[in-house]
Amino acid sequence: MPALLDLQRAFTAALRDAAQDADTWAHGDEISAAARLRVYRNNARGVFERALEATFPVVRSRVGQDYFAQLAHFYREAHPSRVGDLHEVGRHFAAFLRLHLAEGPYEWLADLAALEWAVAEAGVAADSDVSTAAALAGLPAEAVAGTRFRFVPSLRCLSAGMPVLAVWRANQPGADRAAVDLGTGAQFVLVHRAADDVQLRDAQADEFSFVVAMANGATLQAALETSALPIERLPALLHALFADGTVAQIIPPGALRH
Amino acid sequence: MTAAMSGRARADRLPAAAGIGLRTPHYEALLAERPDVAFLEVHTENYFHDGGREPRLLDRLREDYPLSLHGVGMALGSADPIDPAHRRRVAAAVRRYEPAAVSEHACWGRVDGEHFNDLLPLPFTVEAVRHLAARVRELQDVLGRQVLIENVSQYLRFRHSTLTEGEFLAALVAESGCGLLLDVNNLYVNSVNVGFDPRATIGALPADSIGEIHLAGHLRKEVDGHALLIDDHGSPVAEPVWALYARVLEKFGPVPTLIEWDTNVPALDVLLAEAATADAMLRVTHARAA
Repeated sequence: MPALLDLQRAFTAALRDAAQDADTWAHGDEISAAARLRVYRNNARGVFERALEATFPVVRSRVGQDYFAQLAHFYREAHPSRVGDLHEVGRHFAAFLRLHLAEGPYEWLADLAALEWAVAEAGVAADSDVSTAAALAGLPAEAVAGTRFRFVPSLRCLSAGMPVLAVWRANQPGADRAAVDLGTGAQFVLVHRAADDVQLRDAQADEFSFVVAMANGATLQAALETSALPIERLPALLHALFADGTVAQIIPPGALRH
Repeated sequence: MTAAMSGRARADRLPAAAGIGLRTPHYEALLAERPDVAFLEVHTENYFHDGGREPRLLDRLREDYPLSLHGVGMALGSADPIDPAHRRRVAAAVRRYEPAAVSEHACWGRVDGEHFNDLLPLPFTVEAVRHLAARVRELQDVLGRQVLIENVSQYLRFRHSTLTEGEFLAALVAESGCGLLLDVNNLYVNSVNVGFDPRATIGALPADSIGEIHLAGHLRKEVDGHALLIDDHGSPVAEPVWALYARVLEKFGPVPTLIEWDTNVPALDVLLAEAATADAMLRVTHARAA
């Protein structure tokens, strides 16, 4: 009698490889052991594929069912599920596509998958209070340059080599699905959740760089220098960040972050 | 009177009436209509995250309906160690949502670090039941409460099984102190797929062990010219399953009963109609018991 571990290894070997002999440990009768095992093989593949589809509906929509199934198959071979929570299976999909599709006509799908993963993460990130522009305006003028922000936990900053947000928007339910010119260059996207809705903002490169620097703990002054954002555009960007509910906490110089 | 109307939403036990599986397409209708249903069940893994819309909606619904947390990813019977992070997240969900019932499956799903995210069948052996019982005891210790363990669907039979499914489940109850979540559809599906008398399984289960029942639809497939039933939860409960359910109620009395529907999810009314059928059968059982 095989020990439990040996049996589970034999079972999974047969799930991976249909040529593996299951007759030594599984009964076959009118229906062969191989045919019975096929149900489990199809289930495992289908569950993985559907979980991936649920997280990456736009990628799925752009490439069609058959090609998506192929991608899911190769992705599963490279990155099999390690955890019991199916929401996690897409964690490495964008990185996988970046390698798997490198320099091919679908190379840009990696950016699209990264955006969809950011949307999925933002949708379930922890809730947070938000700060207001009035709180910043209330600081002494000399404190503003040294101020830091803590952003809401759902904030994700994504830079893409193609107009990823335009593609994403064109493929949402009810959108006109107009063709997007993929040759229009890079796009920088800020993703976050306000109440229940995930919001996506198309940022300029310097705005994006400013937010990334602030998210990494830079002071407002340091972020301005890093990003080379012209100071005259700062008020409008700050207004947008506060209006969107992106800033969770304003941390004046010397204050402890919490 | 529903649990919602009687204000027993935070009950320690599920009411012995019919509930439904809570699925995303039904959130709005449930919130707006607050239909007469005895309890709601959700997949625990869908509530591993604290933020966003779904936890907030579930918080609202659980004010009015007792809740059952049903885990699908712990794979307790795996020879691999239990993923401690997964177990911590289950424990966090139990603390947050205060469910009236917590359940997992008598299955495995992970080996050598790879998770198949499926409810794979265990051989019915003494080794397997002891292994599973130890894992269930650990989980119950972590959660500080009894857990219900569900029988899973089977498409094959292991050559070296030495116990019947009924004996396996009875031994699990005896060795772990768990309750059972008896999936009557799985029992029927298995009886057809691997060939046994489901009434014998019902007869083998301890009288007070059933904490919840699941009812669902299945799909009939032809494989090698013979019928194989697939537990797809994508259609109404089949007649033979209702008949087996009547038999279960006859032995165990009224038991909280869930209508599960996971694929081709229909309108809420359809789900409620299935629950009403189960409720009618439960009422007859209540009347007999009285």
